[in-house]
Amino acid sequence: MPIPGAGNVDCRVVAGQLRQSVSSAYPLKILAPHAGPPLDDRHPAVSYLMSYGGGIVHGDRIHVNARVGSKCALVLLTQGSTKVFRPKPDTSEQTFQTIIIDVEPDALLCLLPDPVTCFKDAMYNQRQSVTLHSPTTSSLVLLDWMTSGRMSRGERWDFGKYFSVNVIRTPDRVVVRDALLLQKQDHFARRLESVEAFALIFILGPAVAEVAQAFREEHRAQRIKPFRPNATREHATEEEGIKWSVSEVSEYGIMGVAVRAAGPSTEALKEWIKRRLVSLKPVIGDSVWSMYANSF
Amino acid sequence: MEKETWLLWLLADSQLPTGGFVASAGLEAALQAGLVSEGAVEGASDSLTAFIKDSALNQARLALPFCSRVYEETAARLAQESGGSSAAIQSVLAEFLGLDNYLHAMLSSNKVAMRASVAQGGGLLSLFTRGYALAECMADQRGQACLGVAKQLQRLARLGEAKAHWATVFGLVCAALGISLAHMQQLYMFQFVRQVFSAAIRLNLVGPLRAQMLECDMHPFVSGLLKEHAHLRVAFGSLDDLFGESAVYTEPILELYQGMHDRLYSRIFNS
Repeated sequence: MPIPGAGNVDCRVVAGQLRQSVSSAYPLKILAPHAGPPLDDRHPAVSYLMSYGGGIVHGDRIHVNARVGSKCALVLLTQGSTKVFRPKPDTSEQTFQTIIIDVEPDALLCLLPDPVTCFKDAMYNQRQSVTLHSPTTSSLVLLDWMTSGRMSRGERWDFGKYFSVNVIRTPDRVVVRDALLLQKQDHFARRLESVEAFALIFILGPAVAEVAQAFREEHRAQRIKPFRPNATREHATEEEGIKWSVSEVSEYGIMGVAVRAAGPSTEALKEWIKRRLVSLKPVIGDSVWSMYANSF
Repeated sequence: MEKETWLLWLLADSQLPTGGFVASAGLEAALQAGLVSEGAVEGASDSLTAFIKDSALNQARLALPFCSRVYEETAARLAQESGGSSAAIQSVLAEFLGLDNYLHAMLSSNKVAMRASVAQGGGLLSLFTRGYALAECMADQRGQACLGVAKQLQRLARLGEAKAHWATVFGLVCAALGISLAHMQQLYMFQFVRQVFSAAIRLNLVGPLRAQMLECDMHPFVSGLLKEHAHLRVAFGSLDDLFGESAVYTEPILELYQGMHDRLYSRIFNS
């Protein structure tokens, strides 16, 4: 009897061929389209994690397990932003989405979902744990981001709870634990007034070292001058609305960067991220890159 | 006068030599980013007070659960009959390292905050080993055991095998000095708020006299924070714990701006 909302993705190379198997139970659906030919040293694979009804309903518990075998590059995508609905009246059921992934040595995982959008009063918990089996040869791109809400309905930072945990570990120890809690009773909206969307991106490991390095160099080239509220801005582009910073990660052999970015529009932030992840194209292949780039 | 009272006043000193004066807890970055305004203090929307309140909540949810747990684990082991033994020292150290490493993991995506925490933790640890631990009141077996823990911790930190973060060292030192748990938590929050106001004065966001008034008025808010969150203890043993809410941060935008600190064209603080 399959557990509702549970799913599995497994990809490995067997006798030089990619073997990918996926399974899922309602309300979760996982699709694994063809990912294109193998690149020199890597077999790309892709899976879409989707919900029937296009969103996560109160009380739903989505649980995905995944394993990325050596020489595989698995990209996990969604179709459209993850919408989290409000609880039914008179219930306080929270929704949970849990993703637990093992990344073997010489494997790459890219978790590149659309942003989460919590509707008014929604209570959402997102828990993600990625085990890098080799701190020096396993690689990861993890994008965790969210928007302010259903702006078309005037819902802006109006959800009840958003809790997002990202654990990045080796088999022996927890190396990164990022745990963000936004709760209505803490008046979180005040702190997010100036942004419509914000993102956290981890870029770790040798397969994506170039992506990390590009962020590092762009960050180092910044010379941030104090904000002057009355100064006119010439040639203000959408990109200039994006605020971002890069933090070096170098722990127990795991090397890379953590990037935080926020902007006054979800669209602008989407484009900003996409532009900077474009060096993933040769790593995951044109086919999978197009799926990611066109997913919004 | 209670000895504990005397010690609390010592630890509350803004001149405490732990290197805290170079840290602005993200205020300098927030100011340069426009999140906190100069001259907004008089107005109805006091962005400085809001910043400090939001940051204080962040501390209460992120750092205090570590501080409290280290305190309790340390105090419990020292209180046992064999509290002064080398086995007790190893046990206290092992507990400390587990918690300190977990705190490190939680700061791993914010290098600036991590750096500040390690610098100040190291400063407090030195203050203990070269200051308080040599005081007469620490000459007993328990006091010497604490000195033993602290020295080993310093050695491990020098070897890169321990970090010695501010919040965890704070818990250790307060347990060593016999400060009560409740007073330690109050002191932790007080010194955090005081540090940010100090930074605000040096950044010309507020005058020193007005800052005293605002700090005075922070009491009900901090009191409320403690009432609501002081029971929290970080847990990290199981997957449920890792996915739990025992230690969290609440300030994503502050984390972002704090990460910019090293790229500020001109700055007076280290973090």
